Amino acid sequence: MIVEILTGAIRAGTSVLFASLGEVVAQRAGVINLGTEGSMLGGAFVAFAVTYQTGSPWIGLLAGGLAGLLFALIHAFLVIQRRANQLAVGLTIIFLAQGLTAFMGQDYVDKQINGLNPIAIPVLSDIPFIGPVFFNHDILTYLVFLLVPLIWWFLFYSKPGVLLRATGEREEVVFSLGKSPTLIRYLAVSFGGLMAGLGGAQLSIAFTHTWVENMTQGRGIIAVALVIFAAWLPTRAMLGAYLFGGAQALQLALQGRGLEVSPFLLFMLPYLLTLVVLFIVERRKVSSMPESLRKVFEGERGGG
Amino acid sequence: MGETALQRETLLRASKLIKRFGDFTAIDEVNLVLQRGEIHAILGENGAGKSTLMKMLYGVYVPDGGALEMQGKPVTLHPPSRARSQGVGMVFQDFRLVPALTVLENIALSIDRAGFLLNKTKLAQQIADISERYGIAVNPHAYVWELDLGQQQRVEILKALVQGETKLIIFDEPTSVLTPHEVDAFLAMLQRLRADGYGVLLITHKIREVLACADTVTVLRNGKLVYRTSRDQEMTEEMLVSQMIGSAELPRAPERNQVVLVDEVAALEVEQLSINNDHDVTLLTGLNLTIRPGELVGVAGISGNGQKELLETLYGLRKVKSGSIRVAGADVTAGSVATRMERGVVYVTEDPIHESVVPGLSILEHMVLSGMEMSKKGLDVDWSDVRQRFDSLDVVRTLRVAQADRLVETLSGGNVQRMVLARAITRVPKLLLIAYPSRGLDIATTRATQKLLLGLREMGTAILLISEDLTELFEISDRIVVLSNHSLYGPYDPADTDPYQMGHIMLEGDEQA
Repeated sequence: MIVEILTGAIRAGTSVLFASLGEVVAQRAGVINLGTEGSMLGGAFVAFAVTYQTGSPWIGLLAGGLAGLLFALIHAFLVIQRRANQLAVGLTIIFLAQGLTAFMGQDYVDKQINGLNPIAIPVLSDIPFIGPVFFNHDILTYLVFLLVPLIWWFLFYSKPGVLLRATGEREEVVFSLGKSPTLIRYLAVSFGGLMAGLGGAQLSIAFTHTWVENMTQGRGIIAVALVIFAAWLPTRAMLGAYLFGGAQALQLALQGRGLEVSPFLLFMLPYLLTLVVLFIVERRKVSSMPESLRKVFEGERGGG
Repeated sequence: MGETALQRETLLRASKLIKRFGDFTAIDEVNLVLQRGEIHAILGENGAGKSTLMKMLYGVYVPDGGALEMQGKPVTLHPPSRARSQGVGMVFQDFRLVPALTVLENIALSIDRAGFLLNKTKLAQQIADISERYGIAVNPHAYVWELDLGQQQRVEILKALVQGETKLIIFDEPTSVLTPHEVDAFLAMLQRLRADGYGVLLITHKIREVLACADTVTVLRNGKLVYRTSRDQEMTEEMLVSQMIGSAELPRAPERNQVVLVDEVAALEVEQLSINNDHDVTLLTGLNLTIRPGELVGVAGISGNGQKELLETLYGLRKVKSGSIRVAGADVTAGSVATRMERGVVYVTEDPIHESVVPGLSILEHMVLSGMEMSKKGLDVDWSDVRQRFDSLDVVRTLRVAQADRLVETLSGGNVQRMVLARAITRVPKLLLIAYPSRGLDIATTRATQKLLLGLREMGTAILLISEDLTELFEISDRIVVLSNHSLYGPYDPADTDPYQMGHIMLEGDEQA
């Protein structure tokens, strides 16, 4: 059962991890995007629909990523360019995406696709315990495993990474260096949207191979929350995302064993866990939150 | 020093530079020449145009007239990135650093050369080499928020020096954040830069430092070049000061008369006071302080050591963690601002523009808001009466407060400061808590302010004065205390100590305490 839950944790957590990593980058640049949920949902639907129409999950994946990016661009335009309130814009984008995908997705419910299937990595997947848990997944999961150290390296060991972090902390310094904080934020938010779109695609064409209305069920919001838990570090975002995935796998396992608890209560478990984690983490004394985000929450300004 | 060995090459030549802001001419046909290996000081009062001139040289402002040459070639220096690539570096007064990044990352950001990778080992080595050569050691892996202001300044200097193209460096009031020891080290570093052939432009209003290091001095007044001299000509303190203020008569340090204490009850008594900062971490602990009526206690310390928080706590704006505060014998530890105001406590904040100005209200309305009495006329305020009283106030004239109808939000920082001071002084407080009264004021007004404070003291007001100017503290304080290392050291009698000893305590604390 432990192997089953751990494997399930990674299956269920990967989509959240994609979105979380993207949001780490966006928030490091000083923009918080609750619309990540909308990007994920858009990505999930478009990836599914395009895969169904073209028969190619690869084209579907690409389309899903772009859909996520498009939703993020709405956010970027309103927040960075028009200085609208970040939280309000993000929330609105969620509802927009929910309505849009529900409407366009009516015909795709119950449709079958040939999505991305798990690929067992030779030799490694034969290792007992570790093998099935880590090395028998769809290709997107392997991709996200690689992205975690890559993004970490980018943020801390490359000049554009340092510039991105500086933008989230003191845009006036970046400005005085002759660089454009606006451009940097656009790129960061777009990347976040792309990642959320890919996460959504993983959910629909790799993990479940189905489309149902509002299938992300708040995973995008969880991804944003996990970034705070992760203290804006990719490695800790990975831990958080798979913790959430684990709670989800546990919930499924318990339901599968016919436990005498309402499935609705079990369904709450991952979200409850996220809240508990946030409660614990927010007691940290020294805040590692980028300064621009602090301003968002303290209401000094609406946007980037 | 090493002058003969250096080639006299002209680095920068600025001819007839002009900068206007609307109708106001901030810089009026100023010429400036800087040689390799020359320290050129730009002296002037606040508002004389020093910063505007430097910002044109660093490419922040585009000149409205005149010409710029670097090493004989005509150049434009705007924007700053172009100025940097032409070899101009600048160390601003308000540092351009990202606190959440390390020293190394901040320096890496400022290097304009392209390159994707951050070679931390190589850059750290480069930083170590430059640090050693110029005696400005700083840990490249420390976060900037962990550094004090003196160290942050070193990072700014390193930023300029790491840039290989840099030939001249502009320093904007560099010593205002330094203790006396650090000033000595800074001046030594300037000599080193000069010996290495850098050109140095030093904006300052501290004449002693100019006399100690400058090869050439330019004095600006109201945007015009009024005086220029060099080391081989006459260069005296009297001459420079009179050129700065535009009059032959030098304002002197005010006389401090002995005050006979009548009231034996202390105006302020602080016992074992502890305060937390905004992150709920201990900021100050175990503070003891007594101020008697008619006594002026000066607080020295590097800014950021809890000065602001101490005053806020004494005034009731911030929670006390432990300990007690008594005003005129009454315990006000748990009391609000109102309980203190009733007992005649007045607070002049270090940031009057943000904390004392109500946008949309005139000077007169601000005076009435706290300070001047409202004369009633029916249900309304008798404004003409208030205005008459305002105009007849001595303080208003001495401090040259702007006209009563001016909206306060349109005033410059110095003028807001004048209004806030006038308002505090008219109230004749029992206890005056005052932070950085001379910030943004010219020499003459600073002297007038000091005189007014001493006048209050003779009327029996107890004053707690925070200042970053040690000279000021030594001139007008009865006793000096030092905030450092989460503690309050002292009181010390100014007659028994000197600025160097104070500077040591500001940095290290007092082992004997």
